[in-house]
Amino acid sequence: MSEEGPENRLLSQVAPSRRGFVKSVLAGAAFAAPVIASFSVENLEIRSANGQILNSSQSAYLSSSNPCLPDLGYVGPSFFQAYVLDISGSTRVNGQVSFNIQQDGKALGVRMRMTRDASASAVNLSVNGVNVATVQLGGGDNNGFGRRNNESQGRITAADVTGLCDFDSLLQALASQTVKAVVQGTYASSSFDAQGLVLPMAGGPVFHTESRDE
Amino acid sequence: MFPVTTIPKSKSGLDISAAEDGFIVYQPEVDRIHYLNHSAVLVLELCTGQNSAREIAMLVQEAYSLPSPPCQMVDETVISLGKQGLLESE
Repeated sequence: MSEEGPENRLLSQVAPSRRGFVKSVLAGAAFAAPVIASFSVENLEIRSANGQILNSSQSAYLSSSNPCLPDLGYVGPSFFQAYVLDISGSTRVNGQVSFNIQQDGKALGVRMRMTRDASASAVNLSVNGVNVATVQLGGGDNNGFGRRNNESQGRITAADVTGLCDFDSLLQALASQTVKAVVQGTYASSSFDAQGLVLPMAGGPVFHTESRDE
Repeated sequence: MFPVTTIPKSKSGLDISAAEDGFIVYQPEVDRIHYLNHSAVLVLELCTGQNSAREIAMLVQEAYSLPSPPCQMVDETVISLGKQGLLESE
């Protein structure tokens, strides 16, 4: 019996690696007028830290503080940002680190922009002083990104997450404004640590991952 | 203006993630994000460099059992995808 049907004919037009995704798109909703909304990440508004949830929740994500309950997925912002500053005062290095959810919620892209002549090599994320993820920036890491000018990039995946139950816990901690970013780098042959609170950015699409425990 | 008479091809390496009620495409090289609903992302996926906009409309018609190919919608979507830099330029 022939398997040639309208859906299969359409699927045959896309690369085999994309067929599962396209099949899920076809199953997801009836055809409606296509909608495309595009915007610059820079135009998103950073949310105020005044919206921070209670401090007592800051350790709720740490696996050392709590048993890991079943993952219910993540619903929240797609983009986060931290303004970081060398608070030691030994330099005036500062910059902006942006995070965006990628790969269907399985990765977090990291983009760092620093002041002139400063070079960022890594970003550490921590909750209540406990390191929860580290990403190496720029060339030479396993992320395939290069470094250009004062910009560097990297990617955090589940394998980079420590001290938390899972990758969704990291997203939840970021969304609830409990994560501090510490950027390590060099400026004028000296090393620096620039740090700041990671805040969600409003105006972007809401991201929704399903439970990964099922 | 992106001409709809061409054979549209999506840019390689686009990161498409499911979001609530749609999909997010992030382009780090220009620091832009795009929100696409199901229909728009389907058109984007069918921009393989093998199908014209007309052929894409016919595939969509078949897949969704539409009474006629949504040619105008697909044309407009292809133009919009091109304008947003999600398609290879000729």
